[in-house]
Amino acid sequence: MTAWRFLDYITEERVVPIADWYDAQDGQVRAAFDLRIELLRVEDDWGHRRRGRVKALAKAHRGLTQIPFEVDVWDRARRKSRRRRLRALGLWKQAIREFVFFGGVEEHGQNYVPADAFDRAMRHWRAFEQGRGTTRDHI
Amino acid sequence: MTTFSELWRKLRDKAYREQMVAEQAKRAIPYQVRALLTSRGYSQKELAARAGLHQGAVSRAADLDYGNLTLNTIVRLAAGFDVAFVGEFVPFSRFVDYMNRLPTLGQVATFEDEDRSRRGETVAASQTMEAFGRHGVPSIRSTGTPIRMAKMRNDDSGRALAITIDDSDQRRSR
Repeated sequence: MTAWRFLDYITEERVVPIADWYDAQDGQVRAAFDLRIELLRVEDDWGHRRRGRVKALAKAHRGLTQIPFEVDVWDRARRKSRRRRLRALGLWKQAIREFVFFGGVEEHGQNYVPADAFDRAMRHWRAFEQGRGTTRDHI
Repeated sequence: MTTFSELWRKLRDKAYREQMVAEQAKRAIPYQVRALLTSRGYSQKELAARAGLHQGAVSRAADLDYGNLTLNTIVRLAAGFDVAFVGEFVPFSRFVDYMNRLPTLGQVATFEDEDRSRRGETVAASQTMEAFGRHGVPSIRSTGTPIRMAKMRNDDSGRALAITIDDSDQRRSR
């Protein structure tokens, strides 16, 4: 089995969208994201028919793929855990077992943080498809 | 793959390492269940039968997002796979080692496979003992065919005095 390869998209302005998003998260989200990526890296089949690891976006964001993941954060004051829902956004190249990150987003009910995360990821994807910008191995 | 030093640097953040432990505990076991199902060629239904669980419980156990596996389910799954489960508190250096072993988590031998292997070694060891003799070294043989004969002369107390190589078989054949 060949391990999946994760890449960070770097814009022409040398901005790394996934790194910017990652650095803005707290330690809990960063840990959950890192572990999810490490597990996906070695998981053979992402395409489980009911519990797929990735989900293709539709409509205005068709072409993008998201990796949903959840974080159960322990609330010390209330002594119970609270679930946060997040998604990494990118391009899934299943045939060559690669995923290129264009950003990340957190779901708050009907709202997303950052609010324009999907549109931004879409712009990065178009630039990437046009050969603008570059990539690096995700660490 | 994240390097040891990179992961170690991130673990310096207490919130990060707390959550990493939580995520590992909640997600790595389902990941391993999936990996073992694949490597053994078991269906969820088959594992459920072996473990004495409902298929739904196995399905949840293999779901990375479920995150609420009970110890009872885990030990039943261990029984179903015929492997041990070791839950212990460890220092973070061992946690990092564990993370580096993620790709191999699906490769766990059953007790029966291990036992067969160990019995194989035991048989070989006993055969070696017979070849060398239980009291002194009367002869050295390979697999039944004498190559050279070794003779040991002992004193009256059984203490070895000398070993001579007897190549008379080879001389006879010349």
